[in-house]
Amino acid sequence: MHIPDAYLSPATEAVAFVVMAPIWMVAVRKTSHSLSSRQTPLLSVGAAFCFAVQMFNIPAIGGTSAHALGATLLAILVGPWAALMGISLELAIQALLFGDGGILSLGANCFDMGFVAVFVGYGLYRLLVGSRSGSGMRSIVAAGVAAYVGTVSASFSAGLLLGIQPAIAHDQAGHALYCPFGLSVAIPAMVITHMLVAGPAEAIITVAALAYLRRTYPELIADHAKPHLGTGLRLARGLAWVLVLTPLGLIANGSAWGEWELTELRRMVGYAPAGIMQAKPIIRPLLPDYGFAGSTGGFLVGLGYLVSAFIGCALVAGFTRTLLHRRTVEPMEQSSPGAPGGSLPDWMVLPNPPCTVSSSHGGPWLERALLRMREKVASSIASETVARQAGLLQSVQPTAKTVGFLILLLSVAVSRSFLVLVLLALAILVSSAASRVPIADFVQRVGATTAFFGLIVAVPVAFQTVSPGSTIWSVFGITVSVGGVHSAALILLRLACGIGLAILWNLTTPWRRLIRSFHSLGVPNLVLTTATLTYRYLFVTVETLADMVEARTSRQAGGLSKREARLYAGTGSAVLFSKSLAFSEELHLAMQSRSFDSFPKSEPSRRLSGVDFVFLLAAIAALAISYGVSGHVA
Amino acid sequence: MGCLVMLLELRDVAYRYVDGAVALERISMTVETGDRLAILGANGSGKSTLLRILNGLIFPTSGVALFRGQELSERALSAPDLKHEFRRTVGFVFQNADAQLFNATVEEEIAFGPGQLGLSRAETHERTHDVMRFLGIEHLSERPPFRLSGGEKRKVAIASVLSMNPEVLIFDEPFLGLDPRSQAWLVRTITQLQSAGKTTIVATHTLDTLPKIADRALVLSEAHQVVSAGPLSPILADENLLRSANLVE
Ligand SMILES: Nc1ncnc2c1ncn2[C@@H]1O[C@H](COP(=O)(O)OP(=O)(O)OP(=O)(O)O)[C@@H](O)[C@H]1O
Ligand SMILES: [Mg+2]
Repeated sequence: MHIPDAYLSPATEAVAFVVMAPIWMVAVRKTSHSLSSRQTPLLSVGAAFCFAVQMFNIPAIGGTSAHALGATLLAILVGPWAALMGISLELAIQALLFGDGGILSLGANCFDMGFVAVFVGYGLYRLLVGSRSGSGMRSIVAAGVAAYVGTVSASFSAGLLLGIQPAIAHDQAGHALYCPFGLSVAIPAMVITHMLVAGPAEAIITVAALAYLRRTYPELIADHAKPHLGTGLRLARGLAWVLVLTPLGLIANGSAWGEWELTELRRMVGYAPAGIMQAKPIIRPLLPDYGFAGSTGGFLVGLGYLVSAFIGCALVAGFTRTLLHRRTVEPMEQSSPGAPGGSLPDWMVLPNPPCTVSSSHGGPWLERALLRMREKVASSIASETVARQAGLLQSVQPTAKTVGFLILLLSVAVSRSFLVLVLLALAILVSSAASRVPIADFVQRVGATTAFFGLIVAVPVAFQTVSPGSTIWSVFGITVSVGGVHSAALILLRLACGIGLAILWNLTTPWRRLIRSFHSLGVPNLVLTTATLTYRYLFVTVETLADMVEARTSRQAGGLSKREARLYAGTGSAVLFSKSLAFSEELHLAMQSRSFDSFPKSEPSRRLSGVDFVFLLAAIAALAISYGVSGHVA
Repeated sequence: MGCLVMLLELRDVAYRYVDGAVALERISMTVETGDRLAILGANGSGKSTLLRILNGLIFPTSGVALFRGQELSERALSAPDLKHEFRRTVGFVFQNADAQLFNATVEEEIAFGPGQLGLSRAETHERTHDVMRFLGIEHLSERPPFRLSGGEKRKVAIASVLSMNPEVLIFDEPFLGLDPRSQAWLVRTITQLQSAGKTTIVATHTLDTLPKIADRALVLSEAHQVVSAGPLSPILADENLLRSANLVE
């Protein structure tokens, strides 16, 4: 669900920041009141856990990816405001360090995956649980339902933001400049993949983690499940009600997003999103179960969503039953420690009886995703060494660098000219060489991230499905148009430049300096301390996960059935959470015993000098050129 | 029979971790059924890395690792037949017990292995409780494994491998953190397993108990190479060798 920079117009991104600013401010105020010192590691581990959960993703048509969030779980454990803060920090780390999700689109991403997911999820949870304390079985099931709905709502919100792009940002010829898919594609693409895949995953993770934490860390659940957050709670409940009523409204109205858009939007903005009409027959078959939408009436569309939701809920219910069933085993009476000894049991003296190989597969994608994740984290460690070398960008003062990079990102976002983007890309390459960044690795990282986010959007754009224009060639009824290729290349190039800038920034700035620059730009200390802890725990969580996978590999003789894979994902994530929590509690104690109180230590930054001004001027010049050349000014 | 097929064999194996750290250089070795092998070497000499290769968890950067004549590679181990045969034959107790535990409770942890062997529910249950009784950890059965004491964790890790009843048992520093009574028990258990015909490979720094559980040794130098391999007693008697490998002061 991470939206990269290239898919949202700068206007949308700005609005999202404006909306998020007061929300973040409230979150910081609330958190500084309620976060006891023991909760800070909990929040950071929670955020690191969300990071790990979100790495297991599948690409979704509409331009981003589908994955679980961990939002409702975190909200139940630390309260909605702290959860909002944790998820925002985790998204910021992903954007700044790993190029997942844009930096300028951070506001929008925090709105979807932070605000919407947390408050819908938590609100619905409180609504379902009522005023009882939150440790009964009923509340765990409620959490599962809430997590499911919260994730789907977040995906809806992301689909909405993406889907309005063709209408609000296109050039004179009607070529899309940012996300090329209209509401009728973006919303079902996001919502249905989340209803069928990511939503159930989120529910499973939430239910399993809560059921497990209830036994391993009962104090956690007891402490934070009490209704204790006035405004947050009211807000959350309100959102949840809106949400519950929405599908009813859809059906009752006989209208749905898909239909609403073409007629209404044309009137509203005087523009029919280019090529959306042609898009339908081509994009449709690519989506499982998408055949529902766009059929005769809004009723069927609503029905399509309901059926997907039903399947998703059935998956969740099935899993919850297995889980609860397993838990009804009576605990053995506690005997006292026995002495080790005696002779070997008989079966240990004999060889194992022969047995047949179970032929079920599955699971390797988990391992592959984990490998990807480990590589990323390893490359982040490696980047700290690059950041400590002497080099061009390393010598720029951190605060000036932060401001400069933000301006550069903006100039990529507003540019509509091929030439300007190519020049920017060259400038990025030259300055990374001057900063002694290993170029081959750098290009490969940028390329891989661009491909992951970009191809699924660029390919349909190049074909004449979403862009009008003169045809280059046409085979099998699929046409490639000049305009389409141009749009696709522009989108890919902008994506690559944005990701390249983010990675270059990260590669040339050690974490401590980055944090200090945010400090001098006025970001509160609490936020930076939590961010730094989250960053530390990220490594712990990923290593713990890698250990668990290796330990399992060592004893795993057979394959995994579908059911086992679900159970694995559920209990695995619950154990991961508890394990990293246990470990980070020790880490926190270790830090305290060496008298840690907060990051960053007030260490004065260097004063601005020549190189800083040159860098800032270059960034401003890039923005001016990019803005001017792109026809914003007539 | 023709030529003899070794249970486990390494041919000219080298290993480098992703960050470029060299962990092993030019290692060749063989393990036959019934062997009682010890791996010796100073901290960081590559013992754990060697054992992880023997357990098919990581794969040589160069050279080959063979199991009953078949190459152990990522590809080969993704084939269900080889994977099944290999995993039920070779069991590995990690150096870091914490890292080895991934299940929700101690009982599930120990039952995981037998479940993989296709044993019935009743047999799995029986094995799990036999092993817990054998190690004196029945009282821990419902506890989450990562909230145990250091020694308790190690016992659970050992139990989780014993319950699979593998023919080859690899132990990485198994005595770490065990109280004296439990250490003595583990030495006894390893010898009992050996007389039941199991093959054992133990990496350790505890030289005094070594003669009871091994009769052959492989010594790794700090340059990550084999400096000596052969019968245990001459190696333990060779002061110069032990000093050069930093095993004695
Ligand atoms: N995950 C890893 N990443 C990078 N390097 C590693 C990793 N694990 C081990 N190493 C390095 O590989 C070398 C061999 O490590 P290994 O753990 O095999 O040593 P060991 O002989 O088991 O030591 P010890 O007696 O301390 O357990 C060491 O130099 C170590 O620093
Ligand atoms: Mg070791």
